[in-house]
Amino acid sequence: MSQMKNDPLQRLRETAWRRKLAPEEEAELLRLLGDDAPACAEWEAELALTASLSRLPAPGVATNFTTRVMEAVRAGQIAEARRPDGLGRWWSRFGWRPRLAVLGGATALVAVVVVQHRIHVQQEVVLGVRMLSPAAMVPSVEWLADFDAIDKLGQVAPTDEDLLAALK
Amino acid sequence: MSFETDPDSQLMLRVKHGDMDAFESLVEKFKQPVMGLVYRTLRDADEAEDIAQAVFIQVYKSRDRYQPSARFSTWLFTIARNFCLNEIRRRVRHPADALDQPLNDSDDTVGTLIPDAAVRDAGDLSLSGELTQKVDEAVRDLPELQRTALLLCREGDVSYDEIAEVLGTSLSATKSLIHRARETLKARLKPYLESGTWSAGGAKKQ
Repeated sequence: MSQMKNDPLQRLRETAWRRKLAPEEEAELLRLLGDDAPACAEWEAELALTASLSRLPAPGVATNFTTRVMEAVRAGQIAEARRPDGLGRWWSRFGWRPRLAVLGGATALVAVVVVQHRIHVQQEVVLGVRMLSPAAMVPSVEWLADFDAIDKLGQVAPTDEDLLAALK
Repeated sequence: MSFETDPDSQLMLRVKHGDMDAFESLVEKFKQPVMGLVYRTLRDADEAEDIAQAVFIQVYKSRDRYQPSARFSTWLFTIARNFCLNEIRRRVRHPADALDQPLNDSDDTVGTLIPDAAVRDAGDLSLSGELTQKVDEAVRDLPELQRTALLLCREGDVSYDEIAEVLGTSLSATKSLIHRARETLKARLKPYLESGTWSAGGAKKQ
């Protein structure tokens, strides 16, 4: 094919496959073919084949072809309009069993999440209590009511020198 | 012609915006070439008509996805070819199945509701002469890629670049496919060529 690319005869051949050659192209063709009998025969076969292909009868199309297509399209439009849009359309593609299964799964998932959340909250409360427990070691406030008196119990009064002297 | 100036692309853009008249115009314009491609690929006129209708319905369904990056006909023939290939694959998988079953959920309305005012007789499709019949058979026996390339090439309005796009091949590969298809046809129809049955004028007659 690479050789064909630059071949002027091939270029004309490819043109002739699709349309009748223009007068200047025909002139170029005659010049290229010259007296080359095999090339002329080959070209004749090309033309004959093109003519035969163009004469192949077109298959019959029913006279109501277009009407039927339009009716089908309109029927499709009506059916489309009845269908839910977007996500609803996608969802409705599935049967009731898969839909029920998905709904059940989703419900179970939500239940698990809620339970886990509650457990987490309880753990948080326990942790808080544990953090507060060292404060429970402090004496109660009632115990501290007589703190001053008790504190003074340990204090020794200053020595009364005058009294000691009189006793002597 | 670029897709920007392609009147069919403009029509399809109107279809995208809900213009049913534009869609009807496209169906009317392309029903014959699409039917031709499908018929010569599937070799069954009734199936071909069902598939051709399904192609246009698919075009309408896909209207929102249509991007005018190429000519409308390129997009249309690509869809048509894909439908044909799917049908061929379906036949291979389920050889006993008939196509009277709908292709998909919305195809059940195709071909069942509206009576045809001029129901096509099987004889209408019979070919006029022996040569034409031989050519038709030879075309049908070509490998799918070669046949599709050749048939699209026959549609004068479809460029080699567009054929390449429909087939998903390079430009040179597309021309090679057409070349090989024509060589096969010439070899197969050689007896008719040599007997002078061909009625086309030779180069020197041009």
